[in-house]
Amino acid sequence: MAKLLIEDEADVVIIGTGAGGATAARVLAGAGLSLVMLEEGPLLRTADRPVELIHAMRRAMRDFGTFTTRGTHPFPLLQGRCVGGSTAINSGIIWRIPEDVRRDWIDNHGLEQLVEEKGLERAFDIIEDELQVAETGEQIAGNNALAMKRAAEKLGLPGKPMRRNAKNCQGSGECLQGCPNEARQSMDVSYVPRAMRDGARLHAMCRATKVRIERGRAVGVEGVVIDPETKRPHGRFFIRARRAVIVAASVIWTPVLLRRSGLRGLVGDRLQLHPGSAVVGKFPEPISMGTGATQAFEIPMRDRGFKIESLTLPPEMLATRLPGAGPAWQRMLTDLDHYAQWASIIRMKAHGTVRPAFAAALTENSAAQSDADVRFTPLERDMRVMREALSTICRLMFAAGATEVYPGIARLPQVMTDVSQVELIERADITHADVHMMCSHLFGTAVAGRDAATSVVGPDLQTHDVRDLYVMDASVFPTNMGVNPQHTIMALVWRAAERLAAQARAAA
Amino acid sequence: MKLLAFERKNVHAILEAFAPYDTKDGLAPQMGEVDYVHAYELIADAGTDRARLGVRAALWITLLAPIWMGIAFASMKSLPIDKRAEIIDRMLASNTFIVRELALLMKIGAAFALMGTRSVRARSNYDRKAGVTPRSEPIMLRPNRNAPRAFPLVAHTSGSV
Repeated sequence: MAKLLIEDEADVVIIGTGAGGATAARVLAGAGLSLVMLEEGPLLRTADRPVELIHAMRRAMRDFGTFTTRGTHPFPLLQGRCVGGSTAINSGIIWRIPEDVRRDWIDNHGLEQLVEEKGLERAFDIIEDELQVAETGEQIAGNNALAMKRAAEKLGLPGKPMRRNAKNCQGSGECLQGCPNEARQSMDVSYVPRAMRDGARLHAMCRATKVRIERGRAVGVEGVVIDPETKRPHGRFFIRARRAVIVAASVIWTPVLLRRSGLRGLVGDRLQLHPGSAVVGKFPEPISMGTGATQAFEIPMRDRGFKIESLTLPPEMLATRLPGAGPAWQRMLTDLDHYAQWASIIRMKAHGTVRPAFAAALTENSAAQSDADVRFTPLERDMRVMREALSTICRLMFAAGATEVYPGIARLPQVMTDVSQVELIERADITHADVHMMCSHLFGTAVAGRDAATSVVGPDLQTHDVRDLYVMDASVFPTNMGVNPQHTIMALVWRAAERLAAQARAAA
Repeated sequence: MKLLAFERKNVHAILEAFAPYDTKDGLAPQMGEVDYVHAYELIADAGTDRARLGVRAALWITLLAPIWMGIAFASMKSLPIDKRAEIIDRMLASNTFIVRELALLMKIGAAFALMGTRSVRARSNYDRKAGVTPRSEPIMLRPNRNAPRAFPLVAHTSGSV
């Protein structure tokens, strides 16, 4: 048995420091509760986050972005693994929950208490104020976004500047590597330090492996301390929770942890995603993707089931995305400042599952313990939406003046030079084997609802089966939304954490 | 993931074929300018167990491509560089998902090695209009392990560590 390195105790133990966990910490520490935050990844200070992608991704992203769904056509699920979670690698895009989704959660899932309009608006307002949410101005948007704006106007599509939690964005285009100016208010520079100023304690490089449950109540969290050099466990920890354990380990790792802790039922079911794929275009004038906000302009088409976003790529990824190898590829590499990339995110209807990896049950091996079995296969309908999204991006590219467009769809031309070729996409029967998908918006797997037979947690986000065990991340979403989830995660958690704090005060 | 000597030689032979040295018209690294093998090992090391398996499978599928494509009874390393590039190009355009994806893994290795080399990145003109200086020192694909760490990766604000 590995040595016990850390033993601690607090009113509340929070697993995960992403949008959910950090927001819970912000509210609960602010209310005077003693807290311990657990984070599997390292604490990365801004000065220590390298701009070179290979090192940046190794440090901040889970498994270098290689964690994928299982099955015959896997695709990557991108997540942060550092203090701040995925907020430390995303672009800080802010969307309030769409009204049709809010209504659905009330009508079909009994969540009127959680998403009550006025309470939710109040939470959104506070968070937007604290995280300096603002519309991205044209002066720092960059040509990648401005070209999309031009195209949207030309085609009459409903484009708009993104709202982001980066009011003082300098347009460095390095959100993925870590904002060099700390303008983006990711959790590692906002709510985690704020909670710590209010007395919360942080244990980084600590992977929770089990919630300890005694007599039907969560009483603590056990796990392993990871060596930052070898990435292997070198000891154990146990943190006792006097009042509650909050699991906010993400849509993949929350159900894995809950199942390892003995919860069953619908835990890990109803995984929903927003997978996406991107199109690159070459322009006669410089686009200079490296200058400007990583993401700044979007075309929400929720009625069609998708959303289009400008998305700056670092040169390593851009080079990968350009078609071919050898001399033709080399010619493309000499003008990397002339390319734009726009991505789609699809609100897929398919449901998947998440389970602990089989190997993890057999071994104490570190890598196996941090593996999960994620199954997700898009429906035919989902791929029809993907096809429409990709063809729309291609049309936008040509409308913006691209001379070459690379749709990145197998069995179709890799280079399109005329808008008439876009019809080839519109006529094609595109399957998920034909496109390079990836996904960073995940939902479900511990869904909230009033009915214990159809949900894992109640409207207060406490599990139906275990007292004082809460789930506070996007796992509780009954459905996906068609927009970026971070802000809604934070607002739901804000409300649930306020309720938990009030109960703690009353009990005291 | 530690590659065998034979695998390392083939990684280099495959990845250098993405951007041959002697090309006049296009971005061509100089001989020895890019450490392909180390970049590939860094990527493999950072991935999941399954990803490591994929990285190795990508290498073997590619290095044996001349045989299973019916081009020559030889590994990639023994073919001229332009032939290697042609084979990789065909793999990347394959209609078979697994072939295309594994070839893409090799391409990711090549792209990260190339663009992770500061001098090559400069010649790609990615930063041409940016007017900004990269804030890091020249890339070190081989980090100096003896250099002092700027800060502790582990934060334990309490507990008996």
